[in-house]
Amino acid sequence: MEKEFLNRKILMIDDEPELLEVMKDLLEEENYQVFCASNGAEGIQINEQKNPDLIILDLRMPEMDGIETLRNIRKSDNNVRVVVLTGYGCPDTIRDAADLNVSEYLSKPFENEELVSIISKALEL
Amino acid sequence: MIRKNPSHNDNDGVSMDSTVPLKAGSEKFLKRRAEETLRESEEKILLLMNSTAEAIYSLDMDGNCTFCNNTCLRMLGYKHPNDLLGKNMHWQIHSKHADGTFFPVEECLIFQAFKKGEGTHVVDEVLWRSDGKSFPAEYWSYPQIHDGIVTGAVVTFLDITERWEAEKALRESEERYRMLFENTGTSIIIIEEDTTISLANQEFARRTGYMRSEIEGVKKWTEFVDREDIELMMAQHNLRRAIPGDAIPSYEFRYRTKSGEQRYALINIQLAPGMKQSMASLVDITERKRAENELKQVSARLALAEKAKLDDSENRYRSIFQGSPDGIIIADAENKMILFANSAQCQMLGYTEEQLKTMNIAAIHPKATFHHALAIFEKQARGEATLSENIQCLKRNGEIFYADSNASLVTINGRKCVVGFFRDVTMRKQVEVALQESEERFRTLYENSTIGLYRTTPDGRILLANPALIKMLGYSSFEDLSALDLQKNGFEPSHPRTQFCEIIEKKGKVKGLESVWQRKDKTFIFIRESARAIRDSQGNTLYYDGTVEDVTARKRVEDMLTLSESQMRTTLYSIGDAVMSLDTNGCVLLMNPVAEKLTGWSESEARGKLLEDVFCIVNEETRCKVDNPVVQVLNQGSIVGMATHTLLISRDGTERPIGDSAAPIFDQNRNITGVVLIFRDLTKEREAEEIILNQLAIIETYNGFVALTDMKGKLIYINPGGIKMIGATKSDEILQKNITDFIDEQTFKHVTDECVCADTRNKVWNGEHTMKLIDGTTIPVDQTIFAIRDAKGNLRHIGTIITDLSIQKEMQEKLMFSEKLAVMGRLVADVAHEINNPLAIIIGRTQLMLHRIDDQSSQFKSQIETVLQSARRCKTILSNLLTYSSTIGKKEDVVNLPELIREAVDAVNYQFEMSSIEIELNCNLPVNTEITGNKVALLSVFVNLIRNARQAMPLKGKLTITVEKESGSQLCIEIQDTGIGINKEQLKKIFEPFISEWKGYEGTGLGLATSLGIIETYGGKLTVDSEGEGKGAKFTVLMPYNIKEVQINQANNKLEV
Repeated sequence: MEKEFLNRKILMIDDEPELLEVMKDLLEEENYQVFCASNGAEGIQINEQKNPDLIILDLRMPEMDGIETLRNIRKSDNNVRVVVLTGYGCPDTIRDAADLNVSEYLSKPFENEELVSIISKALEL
Repeated sequence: MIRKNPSHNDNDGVSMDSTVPLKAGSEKFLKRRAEETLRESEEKILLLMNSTAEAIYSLDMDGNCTFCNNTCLRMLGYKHPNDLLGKNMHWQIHSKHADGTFFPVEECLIFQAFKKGEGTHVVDEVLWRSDGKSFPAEYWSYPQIHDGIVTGAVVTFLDITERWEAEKALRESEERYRMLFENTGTSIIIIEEDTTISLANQEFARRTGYMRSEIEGVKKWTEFVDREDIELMMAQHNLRRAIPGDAIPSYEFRYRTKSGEQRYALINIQLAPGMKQSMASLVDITERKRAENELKQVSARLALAEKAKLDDSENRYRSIFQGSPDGIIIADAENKMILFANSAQCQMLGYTEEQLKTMNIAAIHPKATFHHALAIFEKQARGEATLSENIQCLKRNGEIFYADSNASLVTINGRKCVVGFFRDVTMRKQVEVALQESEERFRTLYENSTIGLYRTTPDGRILLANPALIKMLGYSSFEDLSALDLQKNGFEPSHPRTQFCEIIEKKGKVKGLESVWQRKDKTFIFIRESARAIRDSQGNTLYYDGTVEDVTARKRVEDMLTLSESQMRTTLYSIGDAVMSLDTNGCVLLMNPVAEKLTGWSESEARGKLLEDVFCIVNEETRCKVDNPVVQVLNQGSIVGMATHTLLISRDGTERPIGDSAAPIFDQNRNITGVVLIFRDLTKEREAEEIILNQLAIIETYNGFVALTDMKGKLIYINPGGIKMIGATKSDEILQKNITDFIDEQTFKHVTDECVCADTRNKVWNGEHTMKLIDGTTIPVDQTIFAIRDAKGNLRHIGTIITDLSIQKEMQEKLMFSEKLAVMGRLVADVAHEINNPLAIIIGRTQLMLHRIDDQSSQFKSQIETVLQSARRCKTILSNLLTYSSTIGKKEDVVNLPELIREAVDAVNYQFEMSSIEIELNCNLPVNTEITGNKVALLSVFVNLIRNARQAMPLKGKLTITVEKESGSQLCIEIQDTGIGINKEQLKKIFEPFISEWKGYEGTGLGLATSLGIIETYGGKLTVDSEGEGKGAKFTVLMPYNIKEVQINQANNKLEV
């Protein structure tokens, strides 16, 4: 329980399983408890079940995209921190995401250090 | 200004001035046509008036001359119309009677007639010439009536001297003829071809015992001739008419008186020259015949009593012959000695019998003719001839007389003797000669007179007609004409002869009666005749002698004059222009209703007034009085157009712009006899002109191509827009050309062909084509071709309107290209995004691997690091590609710069921690300062620049952003940081793409090379300046800008709210 408590929970929502794998490896090394969802709907479900501290959300996904997913999440959960992964930062998307209380942005592809530093920063807030 | 007649040659290219005829052509044309019509009419009248043989002049109400034709001048002995114009014609030509006595104007029929408004016709007055001589004249006067008011009179007159002289000569000839005819002791008759006696004198009536009225035109000559001599008479009668020379001029015959008594007569007969009538004079020779017979009986008895005493027999002769009224001579047939002469013979010759008995018969004849006399005597002596006429005899006192002699051969006392009976025929001979002369004169007159002469019976049979009359009536000869019954067929039905007969029976004469006669070909001629009745001593009308003149030509002239006058009036009154006719003093003679309306004066009020009083004109601009055009016309003798901008002030003060012209009226001698002034209200034309000018201004300003060509495409007009479009500088270059030099010839031909064939009103041909410019290049155009027709629908020109589509086409192409680019941009973005994920996996995994690998595996480590570096390079390339793809094919926006800068700062604030950095934004621009470009792309540039600056100041620093106007059209945006700075070597390379070694200002964002590309795309510049490492850097963006209207900006703000 304590370990669980100590280990912050991170939900990653991305349609790329390989990337989820890389990020899971990296974040578990950093002692995070990592859940993975390969689409928006799964992400919303896991978020409700596991109640993570932070969600790493890919904006660009088939079917339900990141903004839509986040909008659904925010309906019931306004506390979870969110770091958005984007292709290249588009101001309009950034603004939309900002309205949905996004903590940080990260462009793909990114350096592992960048991901780690942004997550820790987002969780400190 | 003298109006020149502009000659339009359709073959010539019309210059740019052709816009003038377009707007003013119809007006000028109408005016010119009106002028011509009027002048033609006036000239026709003048020509008519001057070509007529009759003199014509007109008078005003004061009796002063207002017009006179050439014949009038000639007849009256004047040289120039001015000699008569304005003068009182009664005093000038009519103030004395023929006998020189004063002729007061009050009695003048012309004067009286036109004062009353009636026409008059006078035949027996004289007119006086400028040289003081007079001539008999026949004249007519007709009043001139305008609007029911008599304004003067037109007088026509003829010199009737010739007619008078002919009539006088005829009268004299007739009288003389008649005197001889009646007073000679000889019987004279005129025998017609059918032997009717048409005329007989009193002596003939006395001799025959009839009344003249019982003979003339009633009895035939054959009724008088003794039955036994009729054969001889008729043979001679017919022979004379067949072969005139072969008939015997005289012969003896027997005739019977009314009481039945048989008498002898010697007839001397010959044909009237040129006619089938014969004129005969008769001498009664009954007494002589008796004497002759008795002599013959006596001499027969003597021959029986041959032995009787000579003396006795001589005494017997004496007693027989002495009582004879004819002279008797008995002469020896051998030696021609006179043996005996009776007392009548002695008296005749002026000798005693004793004297005669010593004389030879040659002595009693004049020497000139005694050979002839002797020859006759010898013939008589041989018994070859008996009668001998007109023997000249010589009296003792030397006088010569004419005698008829009749000889018989007798034998007295065994001697052959000739008994000659002599009758003095001097009287008869004289009458005959006189008659002959009179006949000749009469005949000359008949033959040569241009006036028709006739003699008719009261019931209309034509007895005499001269060649002039025969010709006048269209007959070939007198015989032809004489068959005509005047009473029945000679007159036009509405002008019966009874009219003539009534007057002549009542007055004994007819003077200047006008009537209509029928010619042989059934046509009618107008004639004027004068005649008198010839009556015998009992007062019975024998015949009418008359003169006839053909006045058809004059009637025609009169009719034409009336017609022409009415035509002129009709023209004048129906014409749309105002017309005034003026005399040479500039006084109004005529004005039509349009002129009345425009001037406010009625014709009757204006007549006689000076033009200036009626026609008040001022200059439109200066309002100064304009010179009267009529004065100019009279001075120059040419057509004068009015000065432009003329205002006519009518009687009630209304002002109208008018256009006018004035033209002189000439007579045949090119003397000006008046002026015609034509003007028209230009109010509407002015308005129309203004509209046309406005329309023209639109066409001239329109930047498309507008051209006017003839049917073959020859350019007549082209607007400046068209000239520019074609690439020319002056219209002259183009007006020599054909429109098909520029547009498709086939299309143009097709249009013109269609125009000619079909009614193409309101039809236009429109389509897209290419147009060839002067330099040979082509442009895409929209081309409209249409027919231009005049008011009557006649094809006049072809109009072409062309719009340049090249810009439009270019725009379309650009649009299509940018659409393609946009698609490509999206494709690139999609691809880049798809690559982002695998790239993220590669980078993430290799970094994890490097982190986990131990130092013993350093060989792998460096290899994996190489993979990581390559992946990072891909990341940079992709990043730039994504940014650039977001700009390509995207439309340009109008971007509010201050807002954009704030947005960029905000965007960077979202992504990066800026709390350690002091940000100063100096933006003193108005809120409506705008630049043009793709907003996303521009925003990326500024976000990138700000993020770079932030990255250059990892701990703390100050970012100063200054936006200000650099120059009139450039904005300067400076982004100054206090960061790590850039060294000189790096400064040179900083805008080169893919600098992977140096990462100072080349962060994870947009590359500087891409930023520079975007700024340059929108016409701007991006520069960097740094004093070196650790001394910060300054990026400067220069962008062109425009100031948006504040109002629109406000509106936009409201919309946004």
